[in-house]
Amino acid sequence: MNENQPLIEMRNVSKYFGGVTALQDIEFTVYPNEVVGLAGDNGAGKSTLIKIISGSLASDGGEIFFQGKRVHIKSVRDAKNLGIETIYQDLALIDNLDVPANIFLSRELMKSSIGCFVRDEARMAKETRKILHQLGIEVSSVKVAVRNLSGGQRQAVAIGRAIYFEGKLVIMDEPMAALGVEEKAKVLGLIEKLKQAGISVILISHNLEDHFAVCDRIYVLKNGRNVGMKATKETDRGEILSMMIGEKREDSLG
Amino acid sequence: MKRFSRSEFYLKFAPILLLVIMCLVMTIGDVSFLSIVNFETLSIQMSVLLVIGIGMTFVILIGAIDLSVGAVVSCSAVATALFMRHLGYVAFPLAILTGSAFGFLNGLIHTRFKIPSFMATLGTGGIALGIAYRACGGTPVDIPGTATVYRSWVTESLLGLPNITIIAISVLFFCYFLERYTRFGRYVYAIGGEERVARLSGIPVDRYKTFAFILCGACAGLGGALLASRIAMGAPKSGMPFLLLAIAAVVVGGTAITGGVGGVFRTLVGALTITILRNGMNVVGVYIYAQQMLVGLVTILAVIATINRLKIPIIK
Repeated sequence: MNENQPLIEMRNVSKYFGGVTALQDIEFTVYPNEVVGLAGDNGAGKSTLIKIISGSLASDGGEIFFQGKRVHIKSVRDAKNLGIETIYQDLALIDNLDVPANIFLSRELMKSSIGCFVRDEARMAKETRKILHQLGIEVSSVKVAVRNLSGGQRQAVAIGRAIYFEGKLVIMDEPMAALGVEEKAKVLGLIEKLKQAGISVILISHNLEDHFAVCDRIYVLKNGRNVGMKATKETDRGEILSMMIGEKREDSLG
Repeated sequence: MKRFSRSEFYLKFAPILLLVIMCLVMTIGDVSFLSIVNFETLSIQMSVLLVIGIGMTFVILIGAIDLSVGAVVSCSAVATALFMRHLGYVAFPLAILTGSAFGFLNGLIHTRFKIPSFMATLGTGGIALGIAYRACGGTPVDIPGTATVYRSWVTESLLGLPNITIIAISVLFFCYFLERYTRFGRYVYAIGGEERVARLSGIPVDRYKTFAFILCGACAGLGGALLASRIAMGAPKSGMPFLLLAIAAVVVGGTAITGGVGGVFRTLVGALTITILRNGMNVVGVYIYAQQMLVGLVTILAVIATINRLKIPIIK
């Protein structure tokens, strides 16, 4: 459906945990400027797949290409260096640290001062206020530990971290699991915004409604295998659902 | 929104309040507590403990513990005494290096083999103590009068302030710099706060944990060298009391034993509190073994007061 070069392409990617096959010969492609949904029941392998892309798990077989080049994503840092950002279901914030510390964690802004290479707290705080403002979130002081923030504010911190570093691909693992209706709409709006900004998104959700609201294509996994891929416009919930539970096998890959 | 939640506020200021109350009690009990002579005695007594406690702070901040510091202080004290006769000043960097090596070993065992820190450091401590005994043949090593010149810079005073205290305070400021301005400082809190998330964020957690252990070892090494210089002797038992005292100083200062909350300036408060407590018990004439019991009790009370039990799902 898209003529240009894939942003990320996975070929025959497999993952085993001991004798258990978590992923088997997965084919998965995301094009630039595209929102791709990942659907599947619990244990289908969605999380394992995104962990491989985000660098917290290594694959046991297969190849990954990023912008046409073969890559080996061995760590979260490798993924981040490629421009792959992840927003986790539990937001992955460190509660005892303040907002800038969380946003810039592992990528602190540094400066030279009296001959020493030190953290540039002032600039990190300033950038943080800018990011939160962009996301339309008000926080009285960014110097507050994130444990004292509300759910929506915490969400903004996690999202701000992903967008500040101008990622090319943002993975969202159940971003709306714990949100109310209004906040959910905000996140969906944000995904649209990311897309407009030329960033691709991989969206994992339990709720097919979310997929149909924003995704261009939906991949369906079942028992660690691809069981189908559909353009959102050409399918409906019934078809995806039946693929998820395996009533009829539909393979539009390859 | 409040800058501090109530528990954070209380963690930060309760130890200072305790320290002030203790100073008041001591002054009421014995007016000479406020004298310059006693101030000098106190600051000398506190200095070695402060240096060791500062190192321990970082290990506790990452949510780990170093049970080897007592043995490492001993080992370093013996090494200092042995080296000072022949090598002079070189004994000091060698002592710090000895401590750092044990710290590195601790970090390596803990992170590579995924051994709980208490177990890894307990084992390393056994090794360090064995080496200390082996090196001195079981008897304390004197620093001979001919080598006094090499240790006098520790025992002398500058403008009424004991040099040993100046050294300890320098270590404090250096480590505060690390804590407040470097990546290492930030990651120590991140790892102690939520290690899993720190890993997900791309922090090389194992590397920074090892750094914390090396820093703790280096401080224990320096502590041993200062101790040996002060008493002109390196004894294989001399460092042992510092294990409990250092942990006590850290937790009494308000650093949570569970990690992520605290800092080196709190350890200064804790070291002062513990030193004054011991000093006071001496003045009042508390039996030496009873003193030990009291320090143990205070440590446990401090841990009870500083941890947030609601947030601890399991106790191991």
